[in-house]
Amino acid sequence: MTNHYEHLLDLATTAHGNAEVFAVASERRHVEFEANRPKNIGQSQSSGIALRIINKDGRIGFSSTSDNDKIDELVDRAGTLAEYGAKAKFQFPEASDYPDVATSDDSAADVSDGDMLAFGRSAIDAILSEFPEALCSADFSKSSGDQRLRNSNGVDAQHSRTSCSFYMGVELIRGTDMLSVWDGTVLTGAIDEPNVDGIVSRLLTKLRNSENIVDAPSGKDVPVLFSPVGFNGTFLPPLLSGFSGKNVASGSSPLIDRWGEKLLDERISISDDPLHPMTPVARPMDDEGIPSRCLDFVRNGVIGEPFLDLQTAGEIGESSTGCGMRSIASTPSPSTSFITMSGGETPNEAMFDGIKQGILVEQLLGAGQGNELGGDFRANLSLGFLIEDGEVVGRVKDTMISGNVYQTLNNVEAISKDPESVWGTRSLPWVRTRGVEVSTSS
Amino acid sequence: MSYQAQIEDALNGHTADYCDIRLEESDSTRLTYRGRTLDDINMTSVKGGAVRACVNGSWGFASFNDIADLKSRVKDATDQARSLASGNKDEPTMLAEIEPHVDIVKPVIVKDPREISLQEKINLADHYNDIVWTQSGIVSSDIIYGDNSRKVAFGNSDGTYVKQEVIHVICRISAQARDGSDVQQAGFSIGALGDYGVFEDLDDQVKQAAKRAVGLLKAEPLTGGQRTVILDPVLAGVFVHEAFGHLSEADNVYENDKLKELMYMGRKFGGKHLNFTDGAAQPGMRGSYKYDDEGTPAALTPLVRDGILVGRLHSRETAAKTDEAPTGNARAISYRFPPIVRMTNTFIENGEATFEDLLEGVEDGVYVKNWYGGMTQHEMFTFSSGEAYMIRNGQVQEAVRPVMLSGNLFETLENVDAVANDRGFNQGGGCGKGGQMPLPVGTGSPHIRIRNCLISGA
Repeated sequence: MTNHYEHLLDLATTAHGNAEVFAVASERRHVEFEANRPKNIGQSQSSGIALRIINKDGRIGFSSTSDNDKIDELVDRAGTLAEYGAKAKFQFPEASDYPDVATSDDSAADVSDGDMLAFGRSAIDAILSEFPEALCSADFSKSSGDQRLRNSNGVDAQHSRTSCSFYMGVELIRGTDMLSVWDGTVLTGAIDEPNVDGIVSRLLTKLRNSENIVDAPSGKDVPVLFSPVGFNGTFLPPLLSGFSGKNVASGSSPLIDRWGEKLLDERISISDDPLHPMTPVARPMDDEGIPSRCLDFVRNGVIGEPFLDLQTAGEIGESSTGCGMRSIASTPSPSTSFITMSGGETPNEAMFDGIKQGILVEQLLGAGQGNELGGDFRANLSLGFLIEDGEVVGRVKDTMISGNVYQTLNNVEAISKDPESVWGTRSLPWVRTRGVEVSTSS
Repeated sequence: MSYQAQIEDALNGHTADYCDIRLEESDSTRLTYRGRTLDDINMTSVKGGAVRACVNGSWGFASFNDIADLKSRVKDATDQARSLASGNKDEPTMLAEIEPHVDIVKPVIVKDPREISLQEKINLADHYNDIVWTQSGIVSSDIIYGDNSRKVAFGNSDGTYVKQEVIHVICRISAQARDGSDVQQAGFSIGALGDYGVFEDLDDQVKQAAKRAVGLLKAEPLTGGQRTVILDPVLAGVFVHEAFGHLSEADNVYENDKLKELMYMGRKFGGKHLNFTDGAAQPGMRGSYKYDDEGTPAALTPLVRDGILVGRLHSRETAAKTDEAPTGNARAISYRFPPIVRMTNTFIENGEATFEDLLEGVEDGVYVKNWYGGMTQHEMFTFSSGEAYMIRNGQVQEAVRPVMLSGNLFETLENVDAVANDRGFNQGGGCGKGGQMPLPVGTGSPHIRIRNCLISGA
């Protein structure tokens, strides 16, 4: 990687004046279980290199390849594309100091195929001992990767990343009812027994709660409780789309001209924290070489700032917020990392208290098909429960929820005290709301 | 050394029950407009390979960019499969028999996008963007144009060697209108196999999309609940893909005895007017090919005939394990993934009714057109329309906000009470499964009517 790297930046800088080279190399090893048994084992190695230039007319050109034989073609190709490219609203940054944040952990590398098999087997056994007719699938993987960014203004930033992930799904068929529940996490270091036990225990709770199928109430007055996973799937996509630099710069975000206004319940504070250590999305800098920092999207209900990369920041006359992220085959675009929401007053275990009749939202089917840009959400509940007198009494099916994030998050009844990890990349509380429309087929 | 020689050499002396190698090269061009500007032009070339090995029914898989040392990749995949198989030594590897064959398949080309200059593609996209922006009330637009040529060389330990090339063209255009914090959008997606022509002559469609986006700001949202809906051919195609297609994929069924009991051949799912088919052997669509990613010849597979389940989609392994015939549906989105059972082109066959017959007698319903998305989880599915119009007294009337529809395989198909005779095709879609997305697929359907369909509020 190093040879191509030095060579390409020099060639591109000589040819075009301003250039940036981004290179990644990664390895992944994983074990998959299907139908309660180990089924596939695999490894992937991938590497690639991308060149971005700003030509003499100030236009952007980009090209990438995973084919070592084509690296020399990148300089000409990026040059040709730059003739048609967007006007760069930025200059490549200069070298700067980057904050310290842990992004890798040696323990991940020590996880063996045997460990992955053993964890998978014991997790499946634990589910089968209580639900012998269940079919479990699981995917255990470990990855490591390096990335390096250099530009013609002197940035040379690199970091390494490790991660381990474990996902598990359980399927249970009774009559024509098919239940499917899943859980999992991603960590920077090794996944250990307590992590796996936590996943198994959450899965068992969902399976127990699904034993009875019951009718859901409908209308707009039903209290709806969102688990951290349910909150993530329902609210974050429409909410974050409003903060995306792309939508802000293009004029389609509903938050344009609303920065600093209180639009949500005052108990709501949501941030993006790439410096939160040991998360699989932690990073000292973004993929354009801008130092990472924590961003407040919402502070006590007041709308904070958007997340920007270099280009979108330039378009609206701001500085990059260090959120330019990319894959090898695409130019950077604004992207979030570790989303955290502050806890409220209510103890987590008391979030069900006082609900005479309501819905608990866990997993969604089809979220994101609606008008997210406008803040709308709607989805089928692939896993939702009826709450009566503060207790889960059964699973609801053929039930849809819909609403608008800016209205619903102004109609909050309670927020749990302790946020919980969601998929290893979010930390979110339980949230109880009113005003969500519940539609049913009954 | 040619790919064929490299593959044969690497497979020579392998010790697995079965082994295959795929080598892939692809070149893509993509234009992305955000608002008035051409935000991103991207030309990417990718090269890589993958090896699969099976030992006692357990699979080892390796993917890589550097294709120099294939023999050691074969050994790695075989060793992994063997280590996994140590717990089930008595299990045989079961793969449906396919007669070994050698074939070089030329790409389908109607109008080759690689022969159109970048300048010409940009000029045309600029032209469409100008049309969007002549509509007053538009605040932003998105245009994505992409073409891709993918060459895959495949060889396996049975002696099959196939080299295929496919060229795809896709385009999505959408327009956004805003009134305060109310943002509405409308657009469309199209695609074609080997035909740049699909990107030409879109002026009217673009104009209509921009007009619809602005019109939606004034459209009323519907209240959620059950209604009679009529689906246009585009959305009905998404419906059959989501509502039935995914459960036809035999990898869901072959190791799942309970599901096998539910999805048994001969089960009745609806009336005699329901006839569903899937197949890559249908020529010239985005889900079309001659061989799948296991080298199995493509077929046209009847899934439902006269309302009755008669077939499902297979890889070699699921076919062998269910004792059904292979259908050529094992597909991988790229060398980074192993092939899994996927749909190709999925159809609802024509019925006998006309669109007017479907409208007749609908007192209070919704005519839903165009797609926005869709998703399936087992028997439950959702799909979203790009447009929606009220139907009153058998007449299509004013536009309302687009809706999401939701259903259940065992009930919704029974509620499809009429199928028209005006089949149309859609090739703008991409399917996702097992992290492999977007896989090119096609759909085709006439207008269909569903009674008591659950619609979300908006």
